[in-house]
Formats: sequence, C-alpha cells, structure tokens
Amino acid sequence: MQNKLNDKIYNEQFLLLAFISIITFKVVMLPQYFVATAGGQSYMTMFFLVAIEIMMLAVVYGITKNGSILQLDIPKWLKGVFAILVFSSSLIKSTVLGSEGVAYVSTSLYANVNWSFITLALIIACVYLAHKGGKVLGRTVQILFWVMIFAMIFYGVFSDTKFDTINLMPFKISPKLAVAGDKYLMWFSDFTPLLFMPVCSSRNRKKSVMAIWIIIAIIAALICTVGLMIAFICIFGDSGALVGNAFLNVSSLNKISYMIGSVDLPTVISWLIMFVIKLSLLLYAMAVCAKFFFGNKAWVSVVCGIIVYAIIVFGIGNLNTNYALATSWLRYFTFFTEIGVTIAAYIAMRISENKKRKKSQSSMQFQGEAYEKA
Amino acid sequence: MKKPKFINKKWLVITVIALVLVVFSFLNEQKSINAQTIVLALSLDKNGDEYEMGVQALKTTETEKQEFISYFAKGDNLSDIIEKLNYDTGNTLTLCHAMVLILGQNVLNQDDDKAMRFFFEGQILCNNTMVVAAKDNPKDVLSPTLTNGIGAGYYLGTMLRNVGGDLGVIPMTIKDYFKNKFRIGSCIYLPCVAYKEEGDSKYLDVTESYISDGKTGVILSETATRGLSLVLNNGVGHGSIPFDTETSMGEVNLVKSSADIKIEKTADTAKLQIKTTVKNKTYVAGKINDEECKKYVGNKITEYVNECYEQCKSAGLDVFYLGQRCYAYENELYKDPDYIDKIKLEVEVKISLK
Repeated sequence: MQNKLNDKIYNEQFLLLAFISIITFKVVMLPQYFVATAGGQSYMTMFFLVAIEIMMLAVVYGITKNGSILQLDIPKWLKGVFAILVFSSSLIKSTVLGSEGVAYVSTSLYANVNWSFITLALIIACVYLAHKGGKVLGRTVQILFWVMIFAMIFYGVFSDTKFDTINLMPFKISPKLAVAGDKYLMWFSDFTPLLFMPVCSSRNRKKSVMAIWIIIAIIAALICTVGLMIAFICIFGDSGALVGNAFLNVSSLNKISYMIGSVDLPTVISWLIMFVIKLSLLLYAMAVCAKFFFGNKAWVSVVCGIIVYAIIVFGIGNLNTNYALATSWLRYFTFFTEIGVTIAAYIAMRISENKKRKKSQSSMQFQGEAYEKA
Repeated sequence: MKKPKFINKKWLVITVIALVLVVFSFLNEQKSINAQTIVLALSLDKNGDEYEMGVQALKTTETEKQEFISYFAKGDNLSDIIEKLNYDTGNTLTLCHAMVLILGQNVLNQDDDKAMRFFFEGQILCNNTMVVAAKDNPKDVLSPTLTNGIGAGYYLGTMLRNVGGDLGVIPMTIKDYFKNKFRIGSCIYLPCVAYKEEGDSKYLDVTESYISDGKTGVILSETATRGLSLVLNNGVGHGSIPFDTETSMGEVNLVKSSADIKIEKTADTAKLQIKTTVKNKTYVAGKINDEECKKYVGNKITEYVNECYEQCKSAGLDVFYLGQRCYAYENELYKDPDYIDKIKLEVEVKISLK
C-alpha cells in the first residue's frame, strides 16, 4: 500500500528493470559489430564495459533509494539541467536503439515489413506504459519476466551448438579492443531512466534474500552479455561479422528445429518483451523530463512518442543510417551524459542529505534549548 | 461539479487495439501459406557470369501422392532468378526451409562467395541449411527421383542430418561454411555428391569430400575423407575400419574418436593426436591379437590422415587449419604466404580396445 501511495517500485522490480536495461541492446547487432572490429577477442571489451555499467547501476540504486532525482532537495535549475540532459540522451537512445529493435521485428517476425507499421504498433504500447509510470513498468516486467525465463530454459534444454574455442584464441589484449569499445559506446551506459524510479523495500522480503537475488542478477547479466558474446564467437568465428541478430541466431540452433522446423519464437518473443520494456523505460525518462517543464499531462507522453516515431520512420528508416548515427559523435554525448548525470546526481543527493541532517540537527538543538528554558 | 467525460477509457483502449490490428492487416507481405512454395532443396551452378539455380518443392496431389517438382532458371543475379522462379511456380518461393544447397564446383572456385553471401548475409537460408558440392552438375543431383520414390535433393537433406557421427563425410551447414571461410587459409570441406544409376537402381553416392579455398578445389577419395573425418569431426562414433593381417581378416567397429592439433609458439611442427576406441571382435572371425589390432588400426588411421593431408597440401589447401592454429597459439608462421609448406604434421594415434 505504501508503495502504491508513494509511486515507488520495489527492489526486485528495480533489479529486473536494471537487468533488462543492461542486456536488451547488447545481444542484437552489437556482437556482429564487435566481431567485425575486434575479432575473436571482443568479448573482453564487452566484459569491461558491462562491468562499468553494473557498477554505475549500483550508484543509481543508491540515489533512487532516496527518491527520484527530480524529488531531491537541490536547486530547481540543477534539476532542469538534469532533465534536459536525460531527455536528450534518452531521445537519442530511443531512436537509435529503437530502430534496431524495429529492424529486428521486421526481419524476424515478418518478411521485411515496412518500418512504419511496426514502429506504430510498438510506440503505442510503449507510450502507454511510459505514461502509466514506473510502478506499471515495474509490475509489467515482473509479470513478463516469466516468459523470458521460459525462453531461456527452452534454449538451455534444446540447444544444439558446437563451441569451437579456438575462435577465442589467442588470449591477448590488442588495440582493436579499445577501438571497438570507443566505436560502440552508444550501446552502453543505459541507466539514467532508472534515476526517476524511487525504490522501496518490500516488507516481506529479507535483506539476505535480496542480496542473493542481486548476485544472481549480476551473474545472469554477465552470462547474457559476455557469455552470449563468447558463444557467438565460438559458433560463428570471424564470420560473425556477417551475422546480425546474435541472440536469435545463436538460439535458433537447436535440436528440434530439424524435426518441426524453425522454433525461434520463444527467443523472438522474449526479446520483444525486453525491447518493449526498454523502449518504454526510455520514453518514460523522456516523458518525466518533459513533464518537469510542461506539467503532468498525458499529451506530453504522446508528443514524446510522436517525436520518437517520426525520427525512427522518417529520419532513420534503415539499419545503415542507424549504424552511422550510432557510431557518430552522438555516442560520446550519450555516454558521458549518462555517466555525468549519474555522478552529479549522486553528489547532489549527498549535499542534499547533509543539508537535511544539518537542518534536523539545528531544529533538534533549538527544541532542546526551548525545552531547557521552559 | 463533475467535469463531463469526453473520452471513455474503455473505448479508448478498444479503439487503440482495433487500430493496431487494422494496421497489421495492411501488412500485405504476410501472404497465406497457400501462396508460398516451400523449397526443400536447391542447387546452384555458374557458367561464366551466369548463374543457374534450381529449386525442389513437394506437391501433394489430390490422391495424396507426393510429387517432387524441380524448377530451374538462369540469370546474372540471384534476385532476378528468384523472381523468375516465383513466376514459374506461380507462388512466392520460401527458401528458409530448404534443407540442402547443392553447389557446382564453379560456384565454389570462381564466384568469390558472392552467391553464398547473398544467401547467408541476407538470411535467405537458415543457419543450419546443409551445403554440399556436386561431383558433376548440381542440377543432376537435385532433380531426379530416386528408387525409393523420394526427390534426390530432399533425400540428401534428410540423410545428411543423420550422418553427423559417422566415419565418412562431414555434414556442413552454411553457418560452418562461413566460419571456416573466415579462417586463415579460407579452406572449406563439403560432402561431394554424385548421382548414379545402376540398372533399375537410382541413388546418390556421398562417400567423397570436396575441399576448396575459393580458387582451387580437390576431391578427396573415400579413404582420405575418412582421414578428414577423424581429424575434424570430433563427434565420430560410428563406422568400421577394415582389418586384414596374415592371421585374421574382417572389420573392426569404431566406438568413438577425437583429435586435437597443437602447435607451439616457436615450433614448425604441428602435433596431431588422435584418440580412437574400437571394438576388436565385431566382424573378425576367430580371436585376434589385441596388440596386432591396435597397431594395424593405428597405421590405417595414420594412412587415412596422411592421404588427406598430402592431397590437400599438394593443392596448396590448408585443410586442417594449421595457419589458424598458429595464430591461436601465437606462432608467427601463419604470416608466411607459403606457411603450408613450412609446417610439418606429426601424427600420433592412440588406440584403445573395448
């Protein structure tokens, strides 16, 4: 009930949202781009950047435990700066990464369907979720998470792949790894939308249980990103440079596909769920930031959706343009905005906490003095 | 006073759902399955700049008799050919269910993988579509109906899915074709298929292999193909090796075999170790000497492997990916354009009897 009143999400919902934030766009086109740039050792870059992302998410959690950044006791102009930066970063990410998702749907579920239809259907659902807010997103992810678990178990049971570990060798760090890390920064550091989701503890959840879930989530995130990258390299070798949709291509290699034909559907659906949640999260961040200036109105969320739709369909329109945009200077802007805003928000939160503590100390002192006088 | 409600929430949601459904009904690319021709197998050959592609599909007639029909078309590029085949079949071709792609030797050695990239990069074919080389014309392997009444292309596709653990040809998927193509040496190995007719019997002979690096190709004999299988197919678990000594004669059954090739950082010799387990009494009359059996089978396997290696080496083909292994173990030899001549192969076979 408390959670309902304060529009907060529970720890476990935050964990699931963070998990989806980390893995969604790292398992589609990124493995292909990584292999094309850094070859068989590119999983090292993936590990390094994912580790940074997980550490930054710990900082985000520390902030959101005290409330959304727009609820912090900091100057309004600073909140405005945060809102503008997060809005622009989320806008870029939702259009650039969003088009990757649209391309995935249009090629995996359909035979090269026009992007405008797919985008329209997805945006309507995402805008609705984004407008409904963090609590609805948290609950949705909790429900749909079981579909993802089913897809992963399905893959685990029926997987039929031969891992050629020679493709991962030699184990050495080369300059190509740094080049890959720099070129594909756009696919990393997706955590600012979570800054707007105040977190509270569930009453019937023990701290030790939560700690175990956190460890499981970190391991699962590493398996789904670095593990998938390793599997992708072992299966495809350097020819991975020709293979898009890594998640789909790795999971399509299963035992029963010979018997009953293609069984990619669990994978396609589970990724689609992650994509909807992730895009909704980005739209939610955009909507919250825009509402900071224009007030809490439904049309603000709708306008955000229309902007993203227009850019994906009319501005980007295909994966080549998308790749050019994602690897342009915009990648530096989004990466450093995400990290910069998070660190600045953390500092602001500490200052705000100190202020509060001082205030409460002085008021207690004043009360004590008044009591003594009385 | 309550504000008048202009929009009912329930109807708004219904309208949105209806809108999404209507929008999706406009997706005219999603044609009914009746309007598609599901291709079971396809063939591809090249003469000069012209491709010839064939597709085999299954037609179920009113009498429920299965009929395998093949269509062929020629053209400068594959998109045009597929369009022509769509026209000929009267339906849209669906290639992603094709079980096997039969390639002519010209496609393998003169095309620079343009056609193969079209199929793979464009995800026209599934990752696990098998690829084979035709000994003669791929058209002749695709279209005939075999003695068992099944279309040769379809039969080949189903058969290849069941021979993965056999001592013989190694089935190759399009995904593995490209994995090998991207290795140092760009060498690929494919089952080599020939169509044969003997009296009333019509069958496919799939006992040889075809090795190519995109420019040169060689056909490996049945015994050399066994050598290839013992080195590169780590899942070998069925097959027999002939046994013929002064005291006994017959065959021994292979239970399992695995191989590992290592090359040290500064060495110029690649060490190939094969561990094989055989059943020593299967088809051999009387009792055979275990030591004699081990020695004989070991020599036979070394003979198979050397035949395969030497045949490929003389054609300049790095069939065991020694260049890639040098790279993996940080040996600089792979940088030499003639590295294949400079690396020696040392074969060690360990036989155990079961």
